[in-house]
Amino acid sequence: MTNSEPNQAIIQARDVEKWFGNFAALKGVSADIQEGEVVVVLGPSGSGKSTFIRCINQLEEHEVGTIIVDGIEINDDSRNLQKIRSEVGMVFQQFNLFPHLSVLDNVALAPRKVKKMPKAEAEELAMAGLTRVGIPEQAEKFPTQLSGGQQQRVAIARALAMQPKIMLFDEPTSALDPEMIKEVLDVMRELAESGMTMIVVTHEMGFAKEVADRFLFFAEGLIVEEGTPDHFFNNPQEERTKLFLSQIL
Amino acid sequence: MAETPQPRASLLARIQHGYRESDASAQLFKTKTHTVITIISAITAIWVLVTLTNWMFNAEWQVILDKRRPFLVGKFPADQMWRIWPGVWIFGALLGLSSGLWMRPGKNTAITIAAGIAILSFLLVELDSTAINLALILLLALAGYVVAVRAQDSPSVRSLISRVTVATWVLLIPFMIILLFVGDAPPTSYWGGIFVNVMLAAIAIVVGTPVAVFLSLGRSLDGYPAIRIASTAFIEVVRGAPLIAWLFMGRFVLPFILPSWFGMNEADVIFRTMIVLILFNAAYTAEVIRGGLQAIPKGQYEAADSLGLGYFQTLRAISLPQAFRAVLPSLINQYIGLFKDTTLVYLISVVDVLEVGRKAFNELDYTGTALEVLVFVGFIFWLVTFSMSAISRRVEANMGLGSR
Repeated sequence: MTNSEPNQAIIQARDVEKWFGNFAALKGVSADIQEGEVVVVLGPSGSGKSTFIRCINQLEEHEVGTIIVDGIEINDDSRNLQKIRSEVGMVFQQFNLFPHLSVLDNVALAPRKVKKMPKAEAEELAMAGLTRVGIPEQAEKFPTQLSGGQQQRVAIARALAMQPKIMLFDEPTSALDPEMIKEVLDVMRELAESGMTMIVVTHEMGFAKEVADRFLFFAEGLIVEEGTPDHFFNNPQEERTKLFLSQIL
Repeated sequence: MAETPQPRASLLARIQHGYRESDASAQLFKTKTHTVITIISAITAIWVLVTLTNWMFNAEWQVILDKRRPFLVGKFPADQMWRIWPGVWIFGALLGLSSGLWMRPGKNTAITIAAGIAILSFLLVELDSTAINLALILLLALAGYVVAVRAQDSPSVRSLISRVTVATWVLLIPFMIILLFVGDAPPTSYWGGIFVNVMLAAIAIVVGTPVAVFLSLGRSLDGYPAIRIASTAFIEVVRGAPLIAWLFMGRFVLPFILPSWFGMNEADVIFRTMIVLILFNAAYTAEVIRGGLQAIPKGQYEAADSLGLGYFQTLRAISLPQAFRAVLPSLINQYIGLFKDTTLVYLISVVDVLEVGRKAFNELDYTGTALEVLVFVGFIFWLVTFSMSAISRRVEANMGLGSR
């Protein structure tokens, strides 16, 4: 284990602010996420929910505040950043698979390059990952030869191949045809049951209700309400939360 | 519907099949206008063919036969040819090996190249050492091809052969340079013929392309203004003047600018021309590659970042491979242009293949053979550039460009 102490949150964000020019995408967000917790992030578009999870692995650099991931503080030290990124997997709305590499190479690439794993071992790991997401038979194909749902499952296997402690999902089913959403959610559900720490931005309320330990509701760059699914769906406090839920449910 | 012919069907059968499939008879004589156009085109085509064939058989080809050595290597001494042939043999073998290893299932490239060399050997009918050497290249290419195809059955042999092939490709130019200069070598002022064109172009491509990669990266590098400005300035300045101006600069001005380390300022004209061509090619190629890098979606970099890949790992594994795929046609275009531009070196008194020709038809014995000579030189250039484009098309097909 790294330098994280017991009972300490695996992600600690304090007063995080993110500016795009004059526009404040995050206006001081604080959140603790515990190891093994599944957190679903909700909010209208432009509320900062994607920006927040992209700050956790520094695809966006925050200007103000601190983020500590597994005891490592994000700062200008690029070695820290590298370490954090290899512990935090991410799945994107648009899959972002590497189109010039086979499915197997997509998954085996990071273990080989970042962890310097020998080729055979990395490919074995990649095959195990593809089996876990249910598409080992597609290993030799190229990403564009697969359906959207299959591509997203490859993307999940690719992120898992780095054996991360935390998985970030940025609207993983939003670009999918309706009949493919289930196969991706099934994989995510299995992952949640295995005890993975997950932060999920999604509009799939049924799935969210079922797997989430906790909800964070974003509006205009702030967390305006948080709580358990029960609290959230049966007893929301804030007007904006009620309005959002009435629109989405 | 006509029956699809077997893949091994004769050429004639395949043409007949294509004719029926394309419904050409219906198209060619669809209306009166169609019929008139078809007949006029047919007459024109026949007239062109007859005229050309007639000229071919009545032309004075003696000059080509007499000057075949200068066309190939200029004034390079006959007893020094051992410095050139080994490199060319290896080149032939590598072509065969590579097409057998990586160019499945098409065999057109190997056949095109083999046919080209065969035609060339035929033009040099007299069985002397030159003809034998050309035939040897052909044989080596075929042998390489057969070996590579046989090796497909065994993965371990195949991986061994492909490793050796890649390593030999990398070492080919250094090897040729060493052979050309080691010991009591003839001065580069003896270099000439198509040999000079190919050498200059090959070195400009092989050395210039990595330089171009650095320039294109430098030009798009955020956060390092000094590097970005330097790369941009270099590219814009080099592109700002015609190649001839740079060649003259290399010929007449460079000796005064270069420092005297290792006698660099006394380096000969071929060496200076190489430097000019490398830098010139690098500037143009850099812009081609930059275009490819810009075409890569931002999500690719985000995915690479999120996996923990570093800047250089992302370059090597993600962005450069995709950029080169995207710009392969433009890249080959640039290389073909560069190869033909090497004929400009006659202006700085390097006797390239075109200049050999010009000198030949100006000789009293060969008065009136300008057309024959120019057609022959043109044919050589076509052979090389067509092979380049055939290879690039096969590489594109192999990478599945456009289909995935």
